[in-house]
Amino acid sequence: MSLDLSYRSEQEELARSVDGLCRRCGTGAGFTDSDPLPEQYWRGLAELGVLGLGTAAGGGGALEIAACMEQLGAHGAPGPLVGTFTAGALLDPSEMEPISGGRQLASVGQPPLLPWAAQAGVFVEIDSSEAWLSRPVSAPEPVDTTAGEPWGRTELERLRPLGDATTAVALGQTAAAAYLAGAAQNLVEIASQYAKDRVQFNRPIATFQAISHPLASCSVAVSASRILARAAACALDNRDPDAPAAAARARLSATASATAAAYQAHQTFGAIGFTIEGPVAHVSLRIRQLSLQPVPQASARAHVLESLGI
Amino acid sequence: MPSDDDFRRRVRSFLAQHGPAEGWLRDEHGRPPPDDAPNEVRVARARRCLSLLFEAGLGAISWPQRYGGQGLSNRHQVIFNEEAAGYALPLDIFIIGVGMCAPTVLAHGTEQQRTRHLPPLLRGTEIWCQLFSEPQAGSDLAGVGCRAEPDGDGWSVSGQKVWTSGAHNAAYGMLLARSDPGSSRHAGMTMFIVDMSLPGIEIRPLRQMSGVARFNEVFFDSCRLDQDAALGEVGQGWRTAITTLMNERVSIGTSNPAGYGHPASVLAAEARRRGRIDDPAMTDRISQLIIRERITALLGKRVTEALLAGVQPGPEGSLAKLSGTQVSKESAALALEILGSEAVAWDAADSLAASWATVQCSTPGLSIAGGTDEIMRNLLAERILGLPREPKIAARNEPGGNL
Repeated sequence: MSLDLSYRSEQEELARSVDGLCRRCGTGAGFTDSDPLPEQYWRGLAELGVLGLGTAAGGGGALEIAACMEQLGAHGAPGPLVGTFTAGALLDPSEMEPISGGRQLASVGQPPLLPWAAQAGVFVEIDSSEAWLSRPVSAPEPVDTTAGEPWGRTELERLRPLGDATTAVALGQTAAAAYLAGAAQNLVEIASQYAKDRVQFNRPIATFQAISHPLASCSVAVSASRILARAAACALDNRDPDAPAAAARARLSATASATAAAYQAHQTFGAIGFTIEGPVAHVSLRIRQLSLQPVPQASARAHVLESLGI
Repeated sequence: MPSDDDFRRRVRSFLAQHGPAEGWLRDEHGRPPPDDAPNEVRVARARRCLSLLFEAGLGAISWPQRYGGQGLSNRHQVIFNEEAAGYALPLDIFIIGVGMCAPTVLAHGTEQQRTRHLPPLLRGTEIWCQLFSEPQAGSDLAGVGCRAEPDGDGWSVSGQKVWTSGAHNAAYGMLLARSDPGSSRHAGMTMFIVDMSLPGIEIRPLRQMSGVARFNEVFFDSCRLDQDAALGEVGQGWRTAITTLMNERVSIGTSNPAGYGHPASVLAAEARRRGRIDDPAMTDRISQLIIRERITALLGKRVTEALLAGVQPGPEGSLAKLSGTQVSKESAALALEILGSEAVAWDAADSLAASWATVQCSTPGLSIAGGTDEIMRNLLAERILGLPREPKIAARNEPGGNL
């Protein structure tokens, strides 16, 4: 069986629109500081149809989501993206409509610590492979987060079972993997460019193999993660029974390669990458935060082991 | 001179007497109290700690009495360090002055400079900063371009320094500048002692991704220095700088300030609390971390022993720094694995919970500050293993290169 992992032209076109939107909205370091989710940007994603991808009403599937998430990751773009796509695979069309339209935010995760809880209108609780539409028993207590996202702590009251969440979680894992891979790819690219531009000891630092080899290693790992994310998306779109394991593989690979790329980007940029104004910090902070959502690493590992019959 | 045992008792009694009231206690897991107070409060706390130490005859222990020290031996200083390690004395802001600038003034200063500067420096009444790095001279410090031009009977300084920790609190700075305009690389530089309140100096804070602003850009615009501001011989600034840098690596390699990773014991307690301690993969990583912590401590001890034996700090400091950085990174990675989302989200009022996130945001900087991992490895390869230097590339305008 041949597997074509390149995006089709309409997927690439959608991804280009997302890229354009991020550029217009100046997605980047400023987001962490001021408004964690500028309305122009989130509405823009809704108008492009991104927030409804994977739902019956919105059309498109996992590959469309992966294509968009690679772009969003490259910009270090904010928002409850993974939660939105996970919710899209679980909620009724009427419940999903305001979320796809960008008028309501979805908080998807395991209580008590919930992403975007401070601004969310819809709460979906995921416990191992089951999901519930839920509501907070009290107003979420806001917490600070490294990436400046308005998370909150609250207990949830379950309103309605949403059934088996395996596929929805796999879609979320795939979306997260694509975002992380896109973020890592961008970091490797800007770090490589900086290594060519930055002169120390009378030569571009890229001519030192202590700089260039780790970047090359990162590039290998990131390429693998991108391929795994696309493979997982294909498996989901083809309703392949291996899809949950494929999504877990993609997510584990992307978490590892994105974390490594963030460290190497910091190392290449030196102190400038460590400042809040620099080109690395906001992406690196988001990578750390996103790599932990919406389900822990351990459950992804369990999926991979299951697929091996272990 | 007091016996080792007597001195140790004195230190213990001092720490036991002041530790609780002054907020120098570590928690049950050895974590220091939160370090999130406003700058003025941090400075005041640090100064108070140092002044209590001097009142008790425990400040600047191994420094000569004529420069304000206690005139005791290095061994007494080590005893103090051993006892103080169980506490969290808020002395971070003096590390650069006392740990790096003071040894440089002692080694290269005139008698007049030592008498003028060392006592207030050691007492913390005058905080110092180190003005070395520039936008174009980071790892390649010999690329310093900040100019000090002869001006009448003094000097006129113009240029930019960057990543200057604590410049906003500093009364004095140690400035590396190019004093011979025709020179390049290691020749033609001079070290200066700079009064940071002089006209022609502008300090701008830089915000770090860990949320704090503790380092700065410093701009010099025709700042006038007196002739006697030179520290060490004119034109020998590189030699003077090496003294500072060696002391910096020793200082970083043997200390463990806030922002470094949590110790393995804390991680083990968290893993137990979350039911992860029975996972063999988890216990393996924790055990590996304990081993590496121990190695780092021993490397630090080796540097201390060398200092006690009167040996100048050498590449061993680089080894200790590299090892400490690796331990911190592994500790941060393990914390993410154990705590999950709790490591990146915290209640604003809970400073200890915030310490997990602080570590996540700080560890990337450890491989950069005070000499990058790459530069440390070069030093080890060349100076401990005797390996050849990196192949040279001919520099512009310099046939054959002069790297």
